[in-house]
Parts: sequence; C-alpha cells; structure tokens
Amino acid sequence: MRAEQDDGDGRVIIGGRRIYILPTRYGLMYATLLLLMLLGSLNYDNQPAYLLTFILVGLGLNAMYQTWRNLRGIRLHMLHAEPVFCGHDMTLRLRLDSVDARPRYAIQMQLADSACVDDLPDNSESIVMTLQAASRQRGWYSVPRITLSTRYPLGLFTAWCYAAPKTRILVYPAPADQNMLVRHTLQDGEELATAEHGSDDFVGLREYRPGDPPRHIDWKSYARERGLMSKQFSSPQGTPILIDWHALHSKDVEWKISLLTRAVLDADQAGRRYALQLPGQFIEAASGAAHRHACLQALACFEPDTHA
Amino acid sequence: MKDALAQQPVTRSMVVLLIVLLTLLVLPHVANLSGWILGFFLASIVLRLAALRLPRLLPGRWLLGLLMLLGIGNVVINTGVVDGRLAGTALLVVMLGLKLLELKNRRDMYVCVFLGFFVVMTQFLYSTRLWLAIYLLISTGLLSTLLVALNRVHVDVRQTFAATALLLLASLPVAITLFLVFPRLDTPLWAVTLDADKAVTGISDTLRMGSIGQLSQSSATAFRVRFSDKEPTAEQRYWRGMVLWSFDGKTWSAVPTAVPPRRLSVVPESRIDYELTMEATGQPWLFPLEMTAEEPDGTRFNRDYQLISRGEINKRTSYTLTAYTRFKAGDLSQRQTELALQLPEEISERTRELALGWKQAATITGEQAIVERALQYFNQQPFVYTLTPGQLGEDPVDQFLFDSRRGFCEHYASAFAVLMRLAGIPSRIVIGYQGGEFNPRAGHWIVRQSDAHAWNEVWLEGRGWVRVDPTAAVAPERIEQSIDAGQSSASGRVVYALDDKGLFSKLWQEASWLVDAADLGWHRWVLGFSKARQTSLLQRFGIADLPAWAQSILVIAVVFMLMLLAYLFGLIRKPQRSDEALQLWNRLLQRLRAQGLNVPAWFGPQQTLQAAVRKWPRQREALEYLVRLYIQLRYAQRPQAQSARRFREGLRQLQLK
Repeated sequence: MRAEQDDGDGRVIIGGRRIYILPTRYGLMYATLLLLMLLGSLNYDNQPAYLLTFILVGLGLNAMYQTWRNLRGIRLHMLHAEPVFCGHDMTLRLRLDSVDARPRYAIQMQLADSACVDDLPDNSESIVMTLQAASRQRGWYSVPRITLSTRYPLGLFTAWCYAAPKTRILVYPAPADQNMLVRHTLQDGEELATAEHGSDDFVGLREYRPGDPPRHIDWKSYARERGLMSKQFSSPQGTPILIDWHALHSKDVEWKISLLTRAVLDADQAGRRYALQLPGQFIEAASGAAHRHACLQALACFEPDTHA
Repeated sequence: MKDALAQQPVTRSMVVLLIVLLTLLVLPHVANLSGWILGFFLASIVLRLAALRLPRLLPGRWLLGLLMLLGIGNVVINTGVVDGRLAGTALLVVMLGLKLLELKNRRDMYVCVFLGFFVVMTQFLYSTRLWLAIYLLISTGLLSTLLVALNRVHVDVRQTFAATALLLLASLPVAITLFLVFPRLDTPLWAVTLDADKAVTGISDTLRMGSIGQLSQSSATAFRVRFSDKEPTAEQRYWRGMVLWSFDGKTWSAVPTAVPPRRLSVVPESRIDYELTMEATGQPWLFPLEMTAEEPDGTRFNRDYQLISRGEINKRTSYTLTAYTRFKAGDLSQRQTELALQLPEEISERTRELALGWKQAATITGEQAIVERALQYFNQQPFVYTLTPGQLGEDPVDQFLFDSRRGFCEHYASAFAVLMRLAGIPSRIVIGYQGGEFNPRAGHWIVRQSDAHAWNEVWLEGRGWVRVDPTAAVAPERIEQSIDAGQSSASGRVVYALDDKGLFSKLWQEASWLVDAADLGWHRWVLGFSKARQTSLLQRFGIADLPAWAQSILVIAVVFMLMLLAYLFGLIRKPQRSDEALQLWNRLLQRLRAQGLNVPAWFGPQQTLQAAVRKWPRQREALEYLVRLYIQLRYAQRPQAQSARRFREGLRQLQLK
C-alpha cells in the first residue's frame, strides 16, 4: 500500500488516489439490512418500501463518497519535535488543515498503538493533534508512516491512507544512573569525576528538563505547585572538564555512551564548561543548551563500528 | 485499525433521542399490533428511561434472557404466527424494546438505528398513505442524523442537521434511479395475504330512496381523472356505474347477465383519452366516462357496458381508458325488453293515469315526445330538489309524484323510470357520478362521493339507449356544478360549490387542491408504479427489445457511469484552483528571493510580508496588497474571479530595488 509522501517542507497532502476504503462491520450490518428490506419490498411489491430501501441505498453510497471526501485534501504538517532520551515517549505534534477549507470530522491519526481523533472545524483554521511513540534506540528516529482514517459521516465505511512525513526525531542516549556514575568515576578516571564537584554552589532554579538528576529537583517549589524545577549549581572555577570516551575501559559501547551522557548532563547541570572526546570526533569545550545538544547529538549518533 | 471514537462514551442525550425517535417510528403500529405487544415495548422504554437515573434498574443477563422468552411468548400468543407479516412486525418491535434495555455502547446504538429503519419498512406493509410516508421519512432522516452525530467528535446540532439533510438530498438521485429501473417481480417470493383497507363509502349495486342523498354528505374522493387531451363538457361528465333493471316498488337492483356486450358504434372524432384512478372501494365497479369503449387489462364489460374489475379494488388503482361522447349503444333482446318494462305489482291508479295520458297524447309524435312531456312535468310542477325529502311511505313513487314532491336525484330517476315503463318505453336506471371538480394545482379532476348521481337510460327505436337525466329538468344547476358536501349536510339544503366564496373558503379550497395534488402524485409516481408503468418508461429510452432485467441493469450502469464522470470531473477541477494560488505565490517568492530576501520554506504569507516590508519599507502597500490577494485566493471559500488577474498585475508593477 502506497503512502502519501512529504512535499519536502514537512507537509503531506492527502490526494484522492491513495485513500483506501472498506466497509466497517456496521457497514456490513447495514448491507444485510438493505438486502432484507429489498427482499421484503420485492415480496410484498410495496412501492414505498422500495423507495425507503433505495433511499437508504443512496444514503450508503453517498456516505461512502463522503467518507473518502472527508479525508481527501487534508494537509498534515509535522511540527518540530523535541529530542527525547531513549526510553521516554516521543511526542509527535502534527498540525492539520485542509487545502480546500472544507470542515472535516472525526479524523483519526494512528501511529502504532497511539491514536487520537478530532474534528477539523472551519475554513482556514487548523488543529494540532498529538501522537506518542516509544523510543527504543538512540539516534535519529525516522517517523514511520502515520495512518489517517475516518468513518464519518455514518460509520459504515472506513477510509484510510498512509502519510509518510520526512521527519526525524533525535533520540538522545539514555543517561546512566547517577549512582552508577559515581562508582564508575572512582574506578576509571579523574576527568569524569570532576563533574561531581559542580554541585557545590547553588545559583538558582530553572525548569526541569528530562535528564536532570532527581536529587537536583527542588521539591519545595513542586510542593508550592510551581511545577518541577531543578536547582542549578555552578562551580566558581572555569576550568573545562574533558569528558573522554577513552577514559572508560569497557567493551560495552552502549554502557560507555550512557555514562558519557550522564557526564554531559551533570556537567551542564553544574554550569561547567566541558569538552567531549569521542573516537574520531572532538567537541571543543563550551557550555549552554546548544553545546549540550551538540554533545548529546554526537553521542546519540555515535557509530562504534566506523571508529573501533 | 483502531477506532478512537469507540472510546467516546454514548451521551445520555443521544440515548434519549434514540428512544424518542424509535417510539415515534413504532407509534403508527397502534393500528396494527395488539396491545400486549405495544405494552411490552412501552414497558421496556419506560424501564430504560428510568434507568437513565437509576442504572441498577437495568436487567442483568439472566433477567434479559427471561424477558426475551417472555417477549417471544407474547408474540406467539398474540399473533398466532399465521400471518408472517404480523408476527415478524411484532417480533421486531419486541426485540427493539429488549435491545433498548441492553443499550450500552455505540454498537448497540447502531443496532437500534438499523432496527428502526426496518420498523419503518414494516409500517409501509400496513399503510401506504402519503401522510404516514412523510412522517416516516422525516423520522428516518432524524434517525440518520443520530448516526452522523455518533460519528463526530464535537456535536453541533445545527451543523449535524444540515450535514444530514445534504447527505439525504444527495442520495435522492440514486434512490430515484433505482426506484424507477429496479426490476420488479411478477409473483411474490413467498405467499402473502394482505387484508386491504376496506372502503367506508361508495355506491352499492342497489338503489333505495335516500341512499344517494346519504352519500352526498361525504366529500371523500371517489376517483380522480386526468384527461390527456380533450376534456368533456360539463353536461358530458357522466361517470357510468351500475345499470339497474329490476324494481320491486322500493328498491332498484341489477340483473346479473353473462352475455358479453355488443360492439359499440362510435363517432371517432368524439374520442377522449383519460386516466382513471379509483380509490380503494373493496368493490369491483369502475366508473368510466360515458361512453367508454375498450376494457383495460384486469377488467371486463358486462352487457350494459358496465366496467367491472376482475377482483375487488382494494388499493388505489389507475386505468388508462378511452371514451367516445357520441355513440350508439346496444340492442334490445326479447328478455331485455321484458326486463326494461317490468313494473312492481302495486302501482297507484293516478300514476298509471299520468303515464297513460302522456302516451295517448303522443301517439302520433312518438316516444321522444313522451320523454319530453315527462321532463316538462318535473320542470313545471312544483318539484323541489333537496337532500331532505322526508320519509316516504308504502308507495314511494306515488307519494313523491303527487304528495311530497321533494326529492333527490334517485327520486326523480326512480319515478321517471316507472312512468316511462308505464308509457311503454323500455327504461333503466344508471347510477354513478356526475360532474367533478377540477384541481388546477394538479391538472386533474376530482370526483367526490358527493357527486354520486342517478339518472335514466331509455330505449328509443333507431337511437338505442339514450341518457335522460330528470334531475336536470328540476335542478339544471346540479349538472353544471358540484354539490358542496360540507355545507349541504349542515343545512339540509343542496348547496353548490360555487365560485363566489369568502377568502377563507378560497384559501381552504386552494389548500385542499394542493393536498389532493400531492396525494395523487404520491399515487402516480410511487404507489402505482407498476411493472407495466416501468416497462413503458424504459421503452422511452429506446431499449424495449431487451428483457426487463437487462434494461434495468443497462440504465443503472449508465446512471452510475454519469455519476462517476461527474465525480471525476470534480476531482480533476477542484485542486486546480488552489494550485493557481500556489503558483502565483511562488512567483512572488521567486521575485523576493531574486532580490536577495531570505524567505525560509516554513514562512507563512504574514511572516514573508513582514520580512519583505522590513527590507523594502517603501513598497509596504504593494506588498500588503499582494499578500491580501493571495490569502483571499487561497483561503476564501469563493475567491473572486478577478483576484488572480489583479495579483499578476500587481506583481508586474512591483518595484523592488
């Protein structure tokens, strides 16, 4: 089955030719009903009964067309998706509108087990629908084809089509457990351990981001219903930390990556400048969100085979 | 694929709406089903409504099974299961009630709606009245609205109604096509016994004094007539029914005869083609225009040119007929001469003398003069034409002629026939209808029970049977105008349906014409749409040589191909509009980019405008104009035709430095 492809701008327009349509079980029930009614009309040669039966036949056929039409001309626009740490659910937000400003009803979107349904109300207004997908692997996650379907207006037919937006979501590696890092640090190297010293001087609060160590969460703010806030600490010293792949001695690549990820998060949390050394790749010491993202992306996309 | 809507709960208002609609659909069965069946259904509904507040009232699985057995028992006992239609309907209604009791999720809603559609169909098996059909079709529409509402996430009542109305309207072409061309069966698939609606009023085949007068108080439609070309004049509008020969002093009756009729000699120029639509009478008699020559299928003439259906007319039926206003009818056998001169034993002396006096006076001038003399007598003596002639005693003819002199058409016809027979002229009574009301809204004539009439036919040597209407001698206006049944019955006086009426009466008449037009239209196009009618319709497409089923399939195929074509046309044309807007927009973007403006792909029109205005503040107006045009072209439901042209012009004039 063919899917509607991305037009290059993250948009997918549903044309009429790739919409598939089949009767639902209600549709089959309806067809049986019509057959019975036709038999009754034939037998009693009852003209109004014929008329009723044929009106319902017309209604069914028209509903089939309307179901197809309800899907045709819908425009999907993948909205930018935030990177997630592996193991967390990715949130896919899609903006829906239509090329012809007709209202649409009960448009359902489905990606694996996650489904949502909504009406597209009026002329040029658009709606945003949200799907969840589990992240299982670090690296770029290509959003698989999304199933758009509808049963409007009578639920007798279901029309569906596949939309394949060319959107990728970055899945950061899952960070190692905090405790594990401490243990590991003591064994393997000083450079990594330096990240620990950062948690000395409290500078302020910022919004919780996935990956922040749980013990930095400011539970008092949470109790005051301000949402999850993380405490930020900084080290007065500006000496950059080197987070080094080679400092870890293990054959397990994923294990090393998760430890490095934890180190990056901790260094960022501490407000320190840090550099990341990976086989064949070095990211200069810096700090801030962009740097954090660059490091995490490098870790997420790290391919061990090419540099072993 | 998942059904995310299925997780949405069925709202209480939807359940209530469903119950109300189903009750409305079952309601007309009050006339058909026994109280026990309807009681069962009603009890289920009451319980279901109560359970909206107290959900624990709903029966559990075991109790429901028990109720089901109870319901089936109810059906078996109360219908006897002999009449498949009755038993089926009763079972359907009982099951519907039970289904409502276990109504929980969307699936149950669907099942109930579908059962509701089936209930509508069972209604039609009992009655095909137009008003019932309208009521039922509206309810069916509302039921489909419920389905549409079930398939929306946010239900806006007005929008849902509008969408359903459109859906139904758009399904009509398919429905009408299928209705017209779907092959009909000659014989039913399984045996059916239908008791038809029994007639309440109508002419019978005997005539007593006062029997027609009684009929005149009913404005019920007897039949309708549509003339295809020429119409008969007022004094030609005699609708011939039964011919009565035998008189016992009080009652006239027909004499059964098995002899087929003689050929009628007619004047071809006086031909009138028409279609007669009889209401259900439960009797076999038709009332064709005098003098109808050929018998349509399913009918036969008797010797008196009385047209009789082979079965009783138990439903409204149309016949295509041909009449000739100028004709020469019949012959007179020996036996018929005896019958046409037969008289009751007790005839008063003064009656005899009256007739004999006329006969002697006219020995030279002949029979025609006797007929005219009799008519003069009715005209010149103080006879009164009235609906309330009063009770007549043992010898009604004598009493009427000499004492009361108040009578309705049957009195005149009866007395006239007796006088003619006394004078030796063979005569008989014809009962039927006279006149009719033209319905200008429908183009047909309505003949009502109040138009029932009795007149005579006399045998004149050389001319055959000739119609004579003695009522016309007394009350000529009766032949010109119809009787207003409502007003006549109230006053006892004969009130004619005259033209000079009040505004209210005129409006009332207009409304009744419209109703009549709708009723006959319903009959012509739906109820009376027979296999023969279908064949003649299909023949107009020029495919008469094919078998019926092949004709039907051919027409269905052609219609669906046309629809497919229309849809493909719509498919190809639709996107062009938005493409044009997009092309124009891309041309603007090209210009902007060529002049060095950075417009990322995700920029919408407003963002692009802002960026462009920042770069070329002096061109602000021109840029805003173009963007406004684009938005209008792209998003307005009906973009103006000139917008695209204006956009091109504006783009050409745009000065970017």
